[in-house]
Amino acid sequence: MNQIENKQIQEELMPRKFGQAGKLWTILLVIVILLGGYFYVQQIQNGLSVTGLGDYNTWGIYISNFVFFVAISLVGSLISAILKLSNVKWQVPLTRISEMIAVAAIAFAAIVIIIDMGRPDRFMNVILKARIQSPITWDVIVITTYFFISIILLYLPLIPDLALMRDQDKGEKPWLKKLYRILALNWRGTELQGRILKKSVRILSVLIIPVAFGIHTVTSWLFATTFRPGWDSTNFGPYFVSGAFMVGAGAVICAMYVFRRQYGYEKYLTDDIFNKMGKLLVLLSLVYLYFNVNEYLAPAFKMKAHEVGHLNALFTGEFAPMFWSVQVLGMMVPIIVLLFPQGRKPLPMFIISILVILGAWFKRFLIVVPTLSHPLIPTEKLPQSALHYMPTFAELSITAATLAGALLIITVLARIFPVIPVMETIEENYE
Amino acid sequence: MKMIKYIKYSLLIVLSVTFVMPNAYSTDQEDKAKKKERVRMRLSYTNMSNNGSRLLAAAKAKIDRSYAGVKGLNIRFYHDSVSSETYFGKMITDERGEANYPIPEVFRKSLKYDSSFVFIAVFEGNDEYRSADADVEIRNAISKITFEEKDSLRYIKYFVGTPADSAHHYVPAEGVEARIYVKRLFGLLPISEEFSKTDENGMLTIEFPGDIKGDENGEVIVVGKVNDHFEFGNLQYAATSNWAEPLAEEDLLKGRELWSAAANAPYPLVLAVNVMLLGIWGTIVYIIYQMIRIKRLGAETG
Amino acid sequence: MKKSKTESTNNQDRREFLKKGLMASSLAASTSALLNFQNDDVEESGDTVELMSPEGEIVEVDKAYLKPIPDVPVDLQKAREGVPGRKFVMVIDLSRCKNLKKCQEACQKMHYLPPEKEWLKVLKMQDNDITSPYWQPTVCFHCDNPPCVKVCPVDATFKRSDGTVLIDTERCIGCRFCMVACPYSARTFDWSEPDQPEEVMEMEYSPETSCPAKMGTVSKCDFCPDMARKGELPHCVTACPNGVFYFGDENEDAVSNGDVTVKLSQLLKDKSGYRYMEDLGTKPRVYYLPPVNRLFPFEDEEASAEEGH
Repeated sequence: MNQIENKQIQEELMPRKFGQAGKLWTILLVIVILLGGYFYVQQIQNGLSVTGLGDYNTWGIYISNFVFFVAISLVGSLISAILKLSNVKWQVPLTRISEMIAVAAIAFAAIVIIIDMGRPDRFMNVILKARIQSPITWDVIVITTYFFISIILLYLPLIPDLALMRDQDKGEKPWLKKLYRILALNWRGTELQGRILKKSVRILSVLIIPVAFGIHTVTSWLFATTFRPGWDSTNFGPYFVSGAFMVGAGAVICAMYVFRRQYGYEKYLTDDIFNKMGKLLVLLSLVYLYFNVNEYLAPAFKMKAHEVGHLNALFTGEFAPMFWSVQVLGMMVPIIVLLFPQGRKPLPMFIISILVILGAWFKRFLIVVPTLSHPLIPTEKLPQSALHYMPTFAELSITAATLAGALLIITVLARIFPVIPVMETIEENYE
Repeated sequence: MKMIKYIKYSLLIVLSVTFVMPNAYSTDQEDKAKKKERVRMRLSYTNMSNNGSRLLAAAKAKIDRSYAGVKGLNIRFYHDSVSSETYFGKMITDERGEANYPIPEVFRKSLKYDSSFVFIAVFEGNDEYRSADADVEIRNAISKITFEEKDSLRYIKYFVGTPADSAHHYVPAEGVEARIYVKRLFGLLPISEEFSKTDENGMLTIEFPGDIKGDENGEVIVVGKVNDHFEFGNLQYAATSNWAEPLAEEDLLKGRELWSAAANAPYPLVLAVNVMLLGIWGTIVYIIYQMIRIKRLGAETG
Repeated sequence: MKKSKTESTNNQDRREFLKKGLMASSLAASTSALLNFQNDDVEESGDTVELMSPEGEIVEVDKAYLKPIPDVPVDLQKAREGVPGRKFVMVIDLSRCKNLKKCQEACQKMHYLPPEKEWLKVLKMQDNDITSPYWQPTVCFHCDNPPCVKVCPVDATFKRSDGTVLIDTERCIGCRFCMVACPYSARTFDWSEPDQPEEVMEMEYSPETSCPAKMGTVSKCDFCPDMARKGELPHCVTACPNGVFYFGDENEDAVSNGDVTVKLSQLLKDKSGYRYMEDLGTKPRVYYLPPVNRLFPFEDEEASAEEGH
């Protein structure tokens, strides 16, 4: 009985060749990336003048997009570390999806930060001339570290599945076969190999948690170590971490739904898992809401001279439409909908997750841009055009390309590796 | 050669009218070229006693409706009258329109010691500007600073006098307005009262101020000056004193601060970052070792 | 990109200016000892100049023998260390400022800055509705606790022993963290290839001159340390007709505004000097004298022109 079931699980979970939709999707992503690449070449030639940035709004959507990627990447540690260590069983089918998202996001976080540099040709200075006092140096260290841990954490649990794919006679391309063979590390499934693997994954799961908190806290310090209104906050570390957990959960739900639909994984990515992820998302959203209240209420209560312009621009001014859309659609609505069992069904959850992800992207914009539009010095005699930031088409294209790039990485990973851990699912089945 | 004759000729005319209009004049020929700007010239003489003497010719012209220094004018300096015999040097004006010409010592020594001199500065005109000249008559005078310590009080004495004979005897000049300064990087800091005058001994005496900052050795350059005296022109004397407060410089860069260069990062920070890096990357290396072990084990069983 | 006509003529002027400046400085230098007779290849021009030899004698020399000495900046090592024994400081007397912007004009011209790149700004300050507005020239404050230097990941911006904060645009990676960290928004960025006269492009780069500018890097007011090294005041100080700016050396306890030299401690004591946003703890090296007993009534011509329409 079990033998047959295992065979079936194996069959169903093996990576498959792209169908029509898959191919179309990949081509679309490649087109977006090529367009962004074209504009990036322009940016290399003409400098950052191709963007809408200026001496006051000196950081824009590149940086907010960077923060977004860093936030998304936190999902890896949430699902495969925190849930795993707290002995939650239903997380097993989600671990690989979340690690894939994490690896793609963190890789593009690094790429985006290079895109934002005025002199990318001098990138090596960051390593060769590093100043340990700079939060940017900390960020470079912690992003690199998190990237490696995420890759290993994606790879280790994959080894038994790789061995499985190595050993099966399905007609995959020779180079793929070769890749599986090399990556499978002579996996024979012996007891000792299994023990070493389990132990290693467990160690990494513990290790990734402080690093994940580190990456997000350090990223928040890029802002909190300055005097700028809206950034000058002791709350920023936990505020960023909680926001990252929320969008990370949203990203996983979104990916879950897409894979479930695409591959027909209703049996593995069950309604129950959606229901549980929904509850988790409510919890995370409530935590983030709590930090939002803290972040805005305390300064708004005081209305310090330096903060007034910034807060007014958010609450009632230039940025109010975006601010309230993000707060209501990206946070209140998800919380309310997900409180109801019907709201935690796959489709509504998918829609909510899209809202959460969009809200999170614009939220990062609202963290970065309005602050810089309100410098501490009086602005009356400053060139007013310099105080209003509107991203250019080139900037938007490049940003879209990075998002498409991250999606392409996930797509390619999903093409060559099983998105749901095969061996772990089989093991689960035995228990 | 022809050119020189011509210049001489025109200079004679310049001189002859100079007495009527001492500050600026243009020749007849140049009047025809209407567009040429007039130049105003001023000449002053400074005897720095221990540091030679200088002639400062300042040329100004109307540029964009306001007077500004004219750069690049060739100023020729003459003694007594304008002729090739009395010519002793030339200089081109700088961005401020000034030609600060050091009178050559050999020439200065050839002048009669106890008399008055007339110096003349001439600009011969060019394509843009009309010619101009200025002169200054001065009576030879010197000034000198001495330091004196009496009853543990420290004094600066600034003497102004005129030479009595060539044997360096001087007649004190009484009632000359003089001021004493301390040399600072960008100017002279006055330490004596404004409008003070020399006494019957030709002396201006002040106590050395207690709060003057000097270099590491407490050295400071004290300068005595007489400005625009109707007979003597400008007099100046600089002397070094070591009575100032020695500089106890606090090295801004000595600490290991957050803003220090990479090499001077605060130790606790360096320690913290390195401990974290070692701990985390040590673990990562350990995990990679475990992966190699898995591979070896597989090779053995396979 | 099309250059506007006025812009190109401006460049022409700048070029001319620079050439003449080089000539003048070479001639000024020639009065000391600049005779170079070793070079036999020189072709005589027939044009002669008279120079004073070190012995004080006047000699006539063919112009061709004169070697122009361009202003060669100090090397990078020295530029990072600072002018020895100095601690530069600036005092800005707000009671004398009437927003003439001569300081800014001079700064733009002497550093070859395009109009949108302002190292020196004159801000209109009004603390509240009732108190009177005043003009505040704002430069880089060269803080002793510089937030910009703290955040630089590559030592591209640095603090020197003489107090100045400079930028090495040959090392800057263009992350712009320093711009964000500076609460006074003193820093500017070269978003595109800077439009500079050829002579400037050919200049030897030094953090002390901040020339030539480079695309993708940060720049700002540098306190003109190349001038200070020569014992000359920064351009803004000498350009101001009202003597608003004082510049000097804290070690000497003296500042000059080009007209008078005064004791720094006395000036700050007598006129209640203060520093902008002292509460941030950045410890600026620029002090302000409050706008009391003003020389000029406050007039905002731009604003009143707008109201008139």
